[in-house]
This record gives sequence, C-alpha cells and structure tokens, in this order.
Amino acid sequence: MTQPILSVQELKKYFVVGHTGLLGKRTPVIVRAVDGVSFEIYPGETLGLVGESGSGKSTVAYTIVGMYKPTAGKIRFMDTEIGANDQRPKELKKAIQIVFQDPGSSLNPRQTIKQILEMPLRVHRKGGNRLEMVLHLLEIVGLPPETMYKYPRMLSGGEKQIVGIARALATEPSLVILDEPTSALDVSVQAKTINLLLQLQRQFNLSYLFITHDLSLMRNVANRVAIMYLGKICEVANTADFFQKPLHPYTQMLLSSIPVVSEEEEALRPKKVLSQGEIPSPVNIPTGCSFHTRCPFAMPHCSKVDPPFVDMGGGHLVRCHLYP
Amino acid sequence: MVSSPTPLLEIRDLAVNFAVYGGELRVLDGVNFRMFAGERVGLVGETGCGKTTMMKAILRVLPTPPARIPRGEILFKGKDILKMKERELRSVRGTGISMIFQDPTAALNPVFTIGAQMHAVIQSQAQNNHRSIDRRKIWQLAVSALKDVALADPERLLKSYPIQLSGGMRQRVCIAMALSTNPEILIADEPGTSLDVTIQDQILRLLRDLVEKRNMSVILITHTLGVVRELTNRVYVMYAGSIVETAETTKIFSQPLHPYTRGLIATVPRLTGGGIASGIPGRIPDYRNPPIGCRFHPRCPHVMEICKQQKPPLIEVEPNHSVACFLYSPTPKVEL
Repeated sequence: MTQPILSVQELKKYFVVGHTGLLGKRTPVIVRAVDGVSFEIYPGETLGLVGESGSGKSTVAYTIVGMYKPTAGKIRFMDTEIGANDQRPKELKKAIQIVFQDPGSSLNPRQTIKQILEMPLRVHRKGGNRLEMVLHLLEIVGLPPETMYKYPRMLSGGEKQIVGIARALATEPSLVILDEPTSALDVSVQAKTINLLLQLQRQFNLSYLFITHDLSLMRNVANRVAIMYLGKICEVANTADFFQKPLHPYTQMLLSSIPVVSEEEEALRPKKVLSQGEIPSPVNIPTGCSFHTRCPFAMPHCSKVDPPFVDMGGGHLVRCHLYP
Repeated sequence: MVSSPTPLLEIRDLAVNFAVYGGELRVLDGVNFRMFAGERVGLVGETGCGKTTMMKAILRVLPTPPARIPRGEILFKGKDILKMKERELRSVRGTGISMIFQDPTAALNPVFTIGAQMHAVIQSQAQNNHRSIDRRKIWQLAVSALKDVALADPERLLKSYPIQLSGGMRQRVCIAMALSTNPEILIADEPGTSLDVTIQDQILRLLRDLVEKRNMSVILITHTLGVVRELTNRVYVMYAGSIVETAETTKIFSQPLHPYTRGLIATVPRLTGGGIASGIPGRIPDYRNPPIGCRFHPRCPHVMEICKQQKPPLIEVEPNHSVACFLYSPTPKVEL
C-alpha cells in the first residue's frame, strides 16, 4: 500500500473554557473538542469527515492546518512530524491549504480579488509574473479574467467560494482541507462547486479532507468516510461499504435522518433507528461510549467502558460494543 | 381530489417591489398560489427567489416603504388581507396564520423567560378574541403547549431563558408558541435548517405528527427538496419571484416539467451515489433589471424566441399539475 500523505494518530485538542470553584480550589473547565482521533489520507484521495455541530470536525481541520497546537497526539505529513512544531516551516504551509465554510467572511471585503489571490503568491511563489499567475488561477477555476478587479461584495456566494478555492490552489498545495465548502450555498451552486473541486483534484492530484455534515453529498465525493461524534471517530469505511452496511448505531441514526428525494434512496436508509435525544454538551461528555445516551441498543456496560476500534474487514473500522 | 369552493388562502397576481438606491427591485412578479383547508403545501426555491417576501406579504409584516405592493390580492377565506384594518389583521395573524421561523435563536427574545414569552402570546390572543384569561389558565395552556411538542419538564422550562436551551429545544418552543393559538394555517420557514440532521429529523417528525393530529394546513418554505418530499402533499416551485410549477409532491419528483424544476431536482446529491449533475448555468437575475419575458430564459437549456418576449402564464397541463413554460402551453400566443 502506498504511503499516506497525512497520518493523524491519537490527536487530542482540549480547550479551557473557564474555571469553577473559588480561589485556591479553582479547577479549569475543559472542552475535549477532539479526543483521540486517528486517520490517514492517501495521495489523490478524498476522506470525508462527517459529524454534527460540536463533534470537533472543524477543530481537527484547524489543528492540521496549524491554527491550533494539538494537546497530544501526532500529525505526520509525508515524512515529517508536524504536530509539535511551534513555527511551521513555510514549505509546510505551502503544501497544506484550507477552504473555509463561509465565503462571505473569509475574503477581505476591502481587497480586490486580484489582491486576495496575490497574497499567497507573494509569500510562497516569489518571482515570476504575478499578474499572469492570477489570470491563470482564475482560468483554472473558470472565472472570467475581469473578476480580478472586483471586490468580494460584487460576487455571488458561489463565486466567492470559488475565489476561496483559487486562493487555496495558489500555493500549489498537495493537501487541501475543505471545511464545509458548500454548506452556505444553494444546491444548484453546490453542484457546480463540487464538480469543480473534483475536476481540480484529478487535474492536480490533490488530496482532500472534506468536512461536511451532509451524508448524501459525501456519498458522491468521498473515497472513504469517517464519522465523528463528540470528539471521537466512531466509524471509518470505504464509501460504498459505508452506505451499504452502516454498522455504528449513530451512523444508522444519521442515515435514517436524511431527507431524501427518491424511492431508491429511501430503500438505503435504515428504518429502525429513529433519532432521539439531544446532542450532549462537549463540556460534559457522557462516560463510556459517548453515544450511549441516545443509542437504542445501549447495554449496561456501554455507559462504563469506552469501546475500542474493531476492524470488520476491508478497512471498515467501528467503535461499538455491539461488534464483533 | 375534492376541493371546497373557496380556498383557504389564495394569492392572485401578487407583485412586491422594494425601493433601493437608484431604482426599484421587482422581487415578486405576479405570484399565483392557492391552498385548501387541510393541505400541506411546500414552497421551494433557492435563496433570493422571494419565498420569504411572499410569506411576509401574507402576514403583512413587510415594511412599507421600502416595500410596495403595486398589484395583487391575498385572499384569506375570501377576504383580502391587503385591505384589512389593523384589528382584523391582528386576529388573522394569531388564530388565522402562525409562523415558525428558520432561526429559533433569533425568534426568541433573550432577556425574557420562555414563560413570559408564551404568556404574551396566549394573552394577546385572548384579548384579540375579547376573552379574559387569568394567569393560572395561561400557565396551564403554556404547560400543555410545551407537552404537545414533547418537551420534558415544562414547568422548569417556562422559568428558563432561551440561552439555557439547546437549538432543538428552542425550535420546539417556537413550534409550541405558534401552535398555542390553534392557527388555521401554519407557515414554517425552513424549520430545521439551522439544526443538525438528527435533530432536524426529530423536529420534522414532530411537526408532521402535530399537523396530522390537528388536521392543520401548512405552508412549508424550504430549499431542501428532501424535506418537502417527506412533509407535504403539494409543491409550489418558485423562481425569481414567480411560481413556475405546481403539482402533487409525488408528481413533482417523478415527473418534473419546468426546466428549472428538473435542473433543481437533478442537482440534489443522492444517497445512492452516481455523482452530481453539473447544476444550472448562470445565476438568479438582478431584480433591478430582471430579464424580459420568462425570467428563467437566460439560464434555460430549451429557450425559444417567445420566451424572451413574453412571460409564460401558469397553465394547468394535467389535472393538478400546472407549469409556467412555453414548452407546455398548447398554443403559444405569438403577438407582439
């Protein structure tokens, strides 16, 4: 098997969000946003990271890009360990790029698209004709050249997100993290953006970490899918396997919750796992398996022991006491 | 389908303009809409197509100016809402039509307890109907309303502030408030969009149970086609300020006619896989200078000469299936 481009091992990221108790007895209140997450991404592959709000998927993304320093765990990019670095070398920043969720707030409203796209070029690709490079970038993502002189407010949401993608590609990265790149867009615009992303992936052999909460979208873009719940991954599988036989009760609940548009899709949804209960607060994660409070199959020891990962064959990993 | 002679709500040729610097946005351009008692209607369209403007016009909460309604009628049980006096309007807004908003956090006042807010709703409703109501009775009604939306421990909830509840619970509270007046029509504007999928599913199931139990008429506004399919029995598809197609929900999904509807349904990612269709080229028009004729024509793959000159009327091509497109009109009028 080829070497992974990115491998994350037992990644943990805790945040201190406040304190309880009085002076001498102050104890920090800790949010375990990411609590022991491991996965690999192979060259040219799309790994889908799916989870609801508060599951820690964006924290994983930001930690990999270097916006947060991990509390514990390893992040390996190609052959280098990058998690512990205080200051990342420029080469690394060039190789890992991110596209943010909200195109409205991730572009500087006072800069033209040309200025926005020039910034990464100035830092990472010194020399050369910058104007030509900007034009080339716009051509790659299919925006007309005159877009360069516009300000973000003059563009539609979809176009802004495409500028965000062009900015990420400016440094010629090998790994792009897509943090819900289309969740702020309408379906018809989403379709266009996703197709562009897939085409760029083929063209430049990019690896994607695709973060989303939309499983139907995931079905169509990812090679492998990882499901996160409250800071932990509960199931990883190849996309086809994953949708044919979802194993973890949470995955089944997610799948049965998706509103679908055709009979064939309805047949794929597990019927018996109806969504129940509230998502617990990440400050107060339930003991044992964190899903036991909402799980219809919960057994007495689920609330005490956190289940280990079990390989169900073919790289289909699941973290649940029901298996093997 | 047996339809009663007067629809519960009927909109005829409604237009809404907004005054902006240097011109006017012609947002709604002749909307035609009707629903009968007990129907659950979905209103589908992309961001900026005028769904919310239409609902605000129905409740008459559009600020005028900048909004202006140059023509059209909104008939609620045969009476034109646009011509009603403030007092009549107040009773329509409560017992007639209630609304659930997209973002429950913004819909609830953060500085009052849930109890105080529900109290206000129930009390003003009683006043509108010239009934007197005491505090104990209001409290009981509020508790039972919260019980109806499957919230545990309603007494404690009534004493808490919105910030102490989760997003799903807040939306349940909003539903409880909207239903506490027993409205004839419930307008739900993207009721699950701001919530997580599993929580959205709970809310939609709850909503379906409640409206089925009370046989309430519902208008569900959304851009998520899957939600429409699960909750409604009739769909109106809106594009750039007019209704382009309407049919029974199953029909819309099995046999969409309008090129826009077809494009929209094709772009929804499927759980069965198979990639994503390339979407609809172009974007929603600028309302300052909307395209002449059919507003969809610059993006339409089947555009004809007539589309650029005339606006296609909404024509019933089959029983209960109407479409506004010259591809389906039996004899396109060619007059200039």
